[in-house]
Order: sequence, then structure tokens, then C-alpha cells
Amino acid sequence: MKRGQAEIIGLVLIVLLLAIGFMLYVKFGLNADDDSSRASYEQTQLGATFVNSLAKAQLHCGTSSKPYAVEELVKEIAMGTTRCDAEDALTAYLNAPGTGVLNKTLDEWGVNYRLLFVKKSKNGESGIGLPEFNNTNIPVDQRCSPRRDRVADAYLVPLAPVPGTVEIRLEQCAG
Amino acid sequence: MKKAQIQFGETIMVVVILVFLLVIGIVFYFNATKGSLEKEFSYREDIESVKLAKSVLALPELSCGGFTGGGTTCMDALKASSLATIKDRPGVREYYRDRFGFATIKLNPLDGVPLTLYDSDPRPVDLSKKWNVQAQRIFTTLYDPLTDTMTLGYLNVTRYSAVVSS
Repeated sequence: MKRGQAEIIGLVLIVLLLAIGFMLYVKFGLNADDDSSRASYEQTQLGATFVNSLAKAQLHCGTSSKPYAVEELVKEIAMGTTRCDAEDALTAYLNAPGTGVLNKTLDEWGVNYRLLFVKKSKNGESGIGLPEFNNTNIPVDQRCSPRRDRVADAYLVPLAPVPGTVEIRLEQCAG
Repeated sequence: MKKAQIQFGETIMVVVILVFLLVIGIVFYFNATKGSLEKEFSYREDIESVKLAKSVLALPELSCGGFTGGGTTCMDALKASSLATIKDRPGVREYYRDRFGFATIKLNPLDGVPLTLYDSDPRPVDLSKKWNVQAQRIFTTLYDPLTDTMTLGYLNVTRYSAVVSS
């Protein structure tokens, strides 16, 4: 075989190997984000339905026989017009050991979340007096925090006639 | 051996090695593609599970009336209880099988007894196939018309899809 022919075959071989390598790179490189977007979708479904349903759920507060919706209580807490011990009632509803909503669902399922109630106004964000809720089964240093990537879902409670809203926000971190 | 024969042999070897590398590359690439397709399939099944759960909430025979203020994620607890009671009756099962396919749908009130609204698990019946199982949970508000109260619950939706063996 002539030297030129041997060189051509070598060149073709190199080009083919480069083409295969490029195809593999494209395949794995483009799929790198799929797992994270998939997990985000599932988290959003859980989070969105959680905050929407939680806002409408009712609980008893104080001695009144009439139950109040969570969003009603949150509004009253934010405006400082509660007619019962709303903070304690809502905290117990969410977080009472063994019976709290969060204990029976997100904690048990191992979801790494952060549930908070945030008042938003033209002056920025502030708390309304309710604590931040986390999965107590997860070590403190591994819990969901603002420093980590997370998916957030929120339900807005208007404070009309007062300007501003309260956000019932569920943030979920991966792992 | 003559020089020409040696050179011819070298050429043949080069071609053989080339083809061998090509075949390895193609096999590796298609295996990688197959794995990627399986992942994509699993993702699509998760989406279908969520769509199924949301379609359950939208059923008029389960959803709350508009006057309850329960929003789009509201289910009537009394209607759910009735459906759980009649789900295995002839006609009812077939009607919902056309809509839901192979799936199990359970309602879990946080302060009540879990209800199975629909159950068509093919695994005990069809032993000849392997089944993919995709489970999703979505929260819902439960309206009790007897006490006019809203409580929290969640739907556990499990979908079964046959594994297509390659």
C-alpha cells in the first residue's frame, strides 16, 4: 500500500473516532439537566397542591365552634386582629408531634422543606409572627435553607383593605 | 512472503480494526440512547400520574360545588365515600377503567380513614409481564357537606405500565 493511502486511512479513522466522541458528548452533555428538571416538576406538583389546599383547610381556634380557614387566620395574624390564640393554634395544627399536618405528611415522606409565612409590602418582606417550619427528621445542617437550590410554591393571601399580601410559601430542597 | 502481500495484510488489518472500533462505538452509543429513552419514559409516566391525579380532582362526581370556596383542589368527602363503596360494582369498574387504565387511586384524609377510590392493579392478574410502577401524591382539600368543614388530605395515585422488553 502506498504511504499516502495509509495516511488517508489513518485520517479517516481519526475523524470517525472524533465524530463518535462528539455524539457521545452531545448525548450526555445535553441530558445532564434532565434529572434536575424532572425532580423540580414533581416537587412543584406536591408544593403547589400543598399550599393551595392548606390555605383552604379549616381548624378550630379558641373557644369558637366555628372553624376558621388557614388563610383567614394568617390574614388576622398579619393584621394583628386575631380573635383567638391563632399563632398557637396554627403552629399546633401544622407541627404538633404525631398529629400535625407536616408531621403526618412531608416529614414522614422525607421531604426536605421550609414552610414560611411572609408578609410582602412596598417596604419589602417581613415575618408575621409564625415560626419557620422544617422537617424535624433531617439534621439541622442539612435542612432546606436559603443557601441551597430550591423549588418554591406560594399561595397569596391578600390583606385587603390594607395594602400588602401574605405569602404561604413552601420551599423544597433536593436531598 | 512478498512485500506486496505484507502490505495487503497490513491494509486488511487496518480495515478490520477500523470496523471493530466502529461497531464498538455504535453499540455503546445505542446502549446509551436506550438508557436515556428509559429515563424519558419514566419521566413521562410521572407526568401521566400527576395528570391522572388532577383529572380525579376534576371529576364532577367527586369535586366540591363552586359555593364551597374550596378552589380547584377540593374534593367532596361524601361523594368520595360513595364512590369507594360502589367502585367494584359491575359497570362502574369498567367505566372508570376506560378513563384511568391500570392504576390505584387512594384518598388519605389526614384525620380520617383512607379510602380506595379505584383499584385496577394488573400485577396479581397478569403474571406474564413486568410492570413499571409510578406513584404520585397530590394534596387536596376535603369538604364535608354534613358539617360544612374543610380538612386536608392527599391522593395517592399509582400507575402501572407494562415493561416493553427489548
